[in-house]
Amino acid sequence: MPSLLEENATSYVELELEELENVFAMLTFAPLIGYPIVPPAVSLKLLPYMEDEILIALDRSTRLDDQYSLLGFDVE
Amino acid sequence: MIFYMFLGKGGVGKTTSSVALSFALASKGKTLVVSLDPAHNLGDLLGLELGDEAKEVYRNLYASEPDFDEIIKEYSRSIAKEIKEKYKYLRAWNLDKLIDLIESTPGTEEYAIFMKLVRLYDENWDYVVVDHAPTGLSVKVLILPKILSSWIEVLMKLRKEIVVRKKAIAKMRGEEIEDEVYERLKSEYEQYKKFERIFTDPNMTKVVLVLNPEELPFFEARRAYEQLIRHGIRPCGVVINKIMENERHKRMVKEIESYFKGLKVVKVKFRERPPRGVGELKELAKEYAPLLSC
Repeated sequence: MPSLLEENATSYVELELEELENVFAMLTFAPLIGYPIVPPAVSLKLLPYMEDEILIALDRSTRLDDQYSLLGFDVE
Repeated sequence: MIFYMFLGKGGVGKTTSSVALSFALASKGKTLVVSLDPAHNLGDLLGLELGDEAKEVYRNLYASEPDFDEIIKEYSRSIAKEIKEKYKYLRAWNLDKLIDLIESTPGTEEYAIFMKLVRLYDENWDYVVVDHAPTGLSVKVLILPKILSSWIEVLMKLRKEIVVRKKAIAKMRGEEIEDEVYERLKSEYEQYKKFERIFTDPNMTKVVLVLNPEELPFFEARRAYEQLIRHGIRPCGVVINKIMENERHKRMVKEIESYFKGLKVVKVKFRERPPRGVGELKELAKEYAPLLSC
């Protein structure tokens, strides 16, 4: 059973991981939304394996104006 | 296996040159001449009906004209199939629409042609002579593996960072994980690197530029030549086709020869009637002999 400290450490790594996955998805799928960064052939090859990353990127884009919510803060 | 790639502006005589050299190569080994130009005329030239499957046209010489639309459709279908298998919430999607979308995605054409070359490499030929699409598209095909492998290198670096964190979290939970995206990137990278090596090795890929002694084809051939050199592909020969007996052409031929100094040059005279059929093309093959030592 993980200790509280381990749980906390894991949640920070998870947050960092989500951020990296978001960046990876945006970089990979930029050509499919009109920004020719990575060649579309690469994007299409990876598309079948990136369901989670796309969901993360979509979630991030809906919370663009509320960055603190990602850290669990309520600024109100 | 050795690739001979014929590149040049539309209408300069790439198909005739490809076929003529193929007859010369057939005396040395099992040869396939294949048209990867969406506007095929290989079959018309040989006076045969050709399809995707290689047809024997002469002793040791085979020809094929793959259905270009079908190559692109096949590629799109393979991506759509993988998406269907992996995405849980897309089961109800109309995947036919997705195939249409992939087909019209920029860059799909050159990738589909590249994949056809990958498949041809695995077949049992001594020589594969490729009659390419006009210059713009064919240069993109040849430099594609280098561009893709460079991009994948960047993505692999970022993906490694992700994998390290994923593994750390999984270890904490007593789980084991494999990252499919990283594995896919790795296998794609290996394939592109392999073909980057094949296309840049002058012993494995011999690029021949075809042009007429006119200004526009010369400009286009020069641009293609410079672009290829920039990406590490060194053409080995030039075919100056449809040369007429006049001062202007004489001057242009001289200029072309001096620009492409060091490359094997084949000079072919203008013919009132272009060569057609096995007999005439076999006769023309003699003029392409310099390219055999390319």
